[in-house]
Amino acid sequence: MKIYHKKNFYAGIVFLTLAILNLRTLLLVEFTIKDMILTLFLFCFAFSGVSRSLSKQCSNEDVLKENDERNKLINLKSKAKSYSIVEKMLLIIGWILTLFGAIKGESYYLFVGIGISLSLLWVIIIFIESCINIYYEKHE
Amino acid sequence: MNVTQQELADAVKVTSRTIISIEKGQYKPSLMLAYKLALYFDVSIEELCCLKQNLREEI
Repeated sequence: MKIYHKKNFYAGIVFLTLAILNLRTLLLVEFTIKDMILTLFLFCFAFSGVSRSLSKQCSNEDVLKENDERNKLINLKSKAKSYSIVEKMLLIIGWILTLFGAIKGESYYLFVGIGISLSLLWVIIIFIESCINIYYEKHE
Repeated sequence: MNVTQQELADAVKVTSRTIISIEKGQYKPSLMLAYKLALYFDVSIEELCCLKQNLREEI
């Protein structure tokens, strides 16, 4: 028995562990239909991950999918776009909370504190982005 | 040339979805992929990508 795709194998083991823990909770603590369905899905993912990692053909398919240039481009674009959106959301939510706290007066420190924290986080993100930009400008 | 999308994808080591996207004009292949495709069909990259025709249309 040879493991052709380690990432899939370990993912399958993690899902199996989660499934077993969930099953234990179901049997010993509280039985709910929702948790039972979740456990079934976890077992399916676990079985799928492990069986695919042990099959040479399936592993080759998975490696091909991971290394496909179009898939890589789509992943890159998705990550870049979602990062850009979260960046803007952080700034806007930070401003809104700070203004809300200042205007409302209630829980002033809470809202203003959260607002300033989010804005600071935005500043840190911009700083890190600039550093990474400089690095790639030099090395690419 | 009788070749399926899957066969072509397997030959150039990409997914069939990528081949479909290239055929539809939705995705531009990288230089390496274009070269592999050109080698597979035994044509030049210019002929494969209709570069001269595209250039004339652009002008």
